[in-house]
Formats: sequence, structure tokens, C-alpha cells
Amino acid sequence: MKAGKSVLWALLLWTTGCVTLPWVPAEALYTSQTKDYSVALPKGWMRWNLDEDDDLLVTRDGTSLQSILIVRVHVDDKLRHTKKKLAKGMMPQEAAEVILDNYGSDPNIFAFEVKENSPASISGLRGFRAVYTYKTKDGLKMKGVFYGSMRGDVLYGIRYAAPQRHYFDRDMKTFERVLASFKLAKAA
Amino acid sequence: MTRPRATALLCLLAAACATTSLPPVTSRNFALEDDEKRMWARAEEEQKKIEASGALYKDAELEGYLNSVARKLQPPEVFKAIRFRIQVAKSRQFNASAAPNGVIYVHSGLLAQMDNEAQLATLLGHEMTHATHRHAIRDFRDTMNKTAFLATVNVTLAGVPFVGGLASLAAAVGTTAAITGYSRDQEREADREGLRLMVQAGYNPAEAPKLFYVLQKELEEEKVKEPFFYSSHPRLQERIDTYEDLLKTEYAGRTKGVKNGELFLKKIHGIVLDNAWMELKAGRFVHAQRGAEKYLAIRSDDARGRYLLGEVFRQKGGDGDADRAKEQYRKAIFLDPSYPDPHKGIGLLHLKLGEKRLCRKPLESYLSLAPRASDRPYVEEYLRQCDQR
Repeated sequence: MKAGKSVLWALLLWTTGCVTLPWVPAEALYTSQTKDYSVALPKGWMRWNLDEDDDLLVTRDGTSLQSILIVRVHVDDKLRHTKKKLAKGMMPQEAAEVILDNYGSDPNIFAFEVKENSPASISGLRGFRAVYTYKTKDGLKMKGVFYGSMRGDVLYGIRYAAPQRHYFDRDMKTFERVLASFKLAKAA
Repeated sequence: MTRPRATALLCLLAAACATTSLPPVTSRNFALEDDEKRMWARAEEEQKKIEASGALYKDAELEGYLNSVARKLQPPEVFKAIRFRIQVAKSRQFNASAAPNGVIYVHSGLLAQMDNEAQLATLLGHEMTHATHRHAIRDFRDTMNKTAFLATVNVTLAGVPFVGGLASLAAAVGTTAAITGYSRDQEREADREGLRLMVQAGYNPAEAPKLFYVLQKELEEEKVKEPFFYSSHPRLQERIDTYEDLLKTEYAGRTKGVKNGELFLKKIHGIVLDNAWMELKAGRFVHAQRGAEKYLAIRSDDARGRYLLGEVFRQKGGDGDADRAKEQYRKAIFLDPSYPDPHKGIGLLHLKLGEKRLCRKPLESYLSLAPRASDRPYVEEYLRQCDQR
């Protein structure tokens, strides 16, 4: 009788969505829940929708070995590590500065260095490409590349990060394919 | 009570007898206890990781100075028992910590707030006392004893609904709280002893509580309420009261002594500048401005300080800030015409303000002074925008 009740509870939780596994296999073509972008995700990778903003995290071997993050940051959003804010009409370099200062002010990373910050385009929009390195608390040297572009009052960002040695170069081509496939829907 | 429960209770009570009453390292026949040796070994492992992480400044001159101040506070025999080493962590946090083996990390954010050596001596005296009075191992044992006691209560009360679970929760909270800071009594002891050490070394005791006033102002400005648990600055008002009481009683009338303000500021000027940059990156414009102005008070003829202050105004972007930024950039260029960054700052401001006729020249100067600038593609784009009428 007790076992029967447990099974019923488990079923109820499952069907009401209280028990869900966040990681699911990545689709070949993913369209955001808010339908404002689509992106081709790599075969064999897993994806996780991080929050109600539909931020997307994908990885193959685990986020400590490689991850691609797709984010939307509204100009009203508070950033986690800086009080600076994005603003409508910001030049790409200014937007890059805010994003990089947010990463660089994270107290959990060390030796943050910007290696490159240059103009780039995402889905045909003017934007920026920033390359940076940092160390984790355990001394592991990481490398990241962030492409960002402002459309109206939202910054669209695609970031790839991995340990600098071996892993970063290994999956860079995969990231470039994801980046090239990223398409913003026409503005309403 | 059943036999297994009684046995478990006896075992737990027996385990709960590690003494927390340990003499300081200055006592005769001082020797590290076994659990203390393990704690030191663990601390050394963590310190190696911190060294490798890039979280510390590698500035031999600065470290040499900080360690020379530490040596004024304790006699050589204490340094034989504990090899104190003062290092600066790259962090704008207002913090410092002492490991049981004598490694003290002073965060650059805290160092940058200090005005003189007497204030530094107060901090070092306080942190060194945590090590000499063996607060870490005493705290650890105290926590273990309490955890064991609560586990005992848990075993005893396990048959009573709800109460057993509550005791488990309290045990977990107690352990976590111990990790986040030393006990109230230990902080008070470190304040009292630290003050005694700095006065004994000839420093002016009136400087001792001043850092806490800065911290209090910071908490008020940031609207930080001191939480009951997990506060990195526990019971701030109590600590200010401790210092003020000591100044009124034990050190009443002692308002003289060494401050060494000029030497101190000369030694830490680089930290002040770095920290102001960190504050700017964190978007704390008021703090960044204060830091830049403090740096300029130390080195008024330094173009880098002028440029930083210009950047603070440009990025803050309030009423009149564009003009203030331009003024600082111009001063920086006057002080060092070959310094590229203020040229770019002034050009960008003209472009943002729609003063397109004025933006080309400074941006060209920037590129000619820094032909390999990493942001050259951006600046070339700005130059094209300058020509669009």
C-alpha cells in the first residue's frame, strides 16, 4: 500500500513538472521559446534552458570542459558582477566594455585578461567579438569568446568557453558553425 | 533508552571533549597539536592553489614593506613559531584574512582605503593575533564539540517526531557559521591585542578605529544590512565600540604616535590606482572617483590618474560629466602627450556628443601613438563616422 502511494506521488510530480531533468539532447534546429531567434545546435550535444529568459546552455562533455551560452540581456536587466548597464543605441565597443567588465568583476575568477575586442556582426547586425582568458579558483586557465550585438533594447550574445589548453581549439570550429547558424527573427 | 543508543551517546560525549583552551604561541613549551598540524597542512595546500590562481599581487617591494610593518609588531621569537607572510589579494572587497599558519591576505580594496601605516598596523596586529592565539583550531574544536553535542541530542531525541530533525538543522548551521568567521569573543580578543601591539610598536592609537568608520560608511552607502549569519563584517558597531572603549580607558590621553602616512601612500599608490580601476569596472562610480582622486592626491602629476578620472566621468555620464571628463583628458595629455588613451577618450566624447568636426584629430593622434592598438578596427570605424555629416 505504502509502495503504491509512493509510485502515485512520483507519477503526480512527474506529470505536474515538479521533477524534470534540465539537460535534454540538443536539436538540429532550435527556435527560442519567444521565437526571436533560431540556431543550429551540434549533434550529440546537450542543451539546458536556463531560465524564463530562455537563455540557452549547450555542452557535449560538461560545462567545465566546453560550453556555448546564448543570452539575451535587456537594458533594464541588472548584471551580476557590475552595476554598469547596457543602453539602447550603445556603440558595439561600449556594449563590449559592459559585458567584459561584468565578466572581469566576477570575484570567483582571477587574472582576467581581454585578448581581443573588435567589431563583428551577428546575424547581419553590427556588434563585437571579444576574446578573453581567466583562471579558475583551482588555477585552471580558461578561454572565452563572446559575440554580442544590440538590437533595440536587447543585447544578443553568444559565448563559447573552455579550458585554454587543448579543449578551446578542439571545439572552436563547432562553435563557429553554431554562430554562423544563429538567425534573429525579423523585428516585430 | 536502548543499549545501542546509550553506547552511541557515550561515544559522542567522549568525542566532545577536545579542549578549546589553548595557550598562545608565545607560551613556554608551545607545540602544535595533531589536529592543528593537519589544519596548517591543509592551509598550505589551499595557499598553493591561491598562488597558482593569479589572485595575488606579485610585487616584491610592496610585500617587503607590508612584512616589515608586521615585523615591528611582534618580537623575533614569535616569527620563529609562526612564519608570518603578508600578501595582497587582487580584490576590491573590503576584507582581510589570517590562516592559522600565519599567511595573511589583505585585499587590495581594504589596503586602498587606508591612509597610513598606523591603520595598517592595526589591521595586521588584529590578523596576527588570530594566528598567535590559535583562533582557528580553537574555533574548529568548538564547532566539533557543538556538532557532537547536537548529534548526541539528535540520537537521544530521534524517536520524538520533528525534534530530531531540528537538531540536525542547528548542527549544520553551527558548522557553516564557524567557517564564515571567528567568534565574537575571538574578534574582541584580536581587536584588543592588535591595538596593544600597534601601540607597543609606537603607532598612534587614535588611528585604530578609522578603518571601521570607512567600513560603516560603505555599508550605509551600499544599504547593506548586517545579517545575523554569514556576514563578513560581523557586529561592526560592537567592534567600533570595543576600540572606542579602549581608547577612552586603557589608552586615554594617548593621541600621539607614529602614523607614517606619506611613506605608506607612496608604497601603496599602485594599489590605489588598480583598485579604482576595479571599482570602475564594477560600475561603482562614486568609489572609482574617490579612488582616482586619492591617487591624484598622492601623484598629482601622473597622466594615468588623470585619464582614469576622465574615464570615470565619461562612463558615469551624468550632468556636466562630459566636460569634467574632457578636462581630465586634457590634463593627462598635457602631463604626457605620448600617452595614447586620453586622446581616444576625448575623441570618443566628441563623437558621442555629435561634435564630428572635433573628433577626427584626437582619434588620429591615438592611432599614431598606438599603431598596434587592439581596438584599432573600432577606432577606424569611428573615424569614418567623424566624416559623416
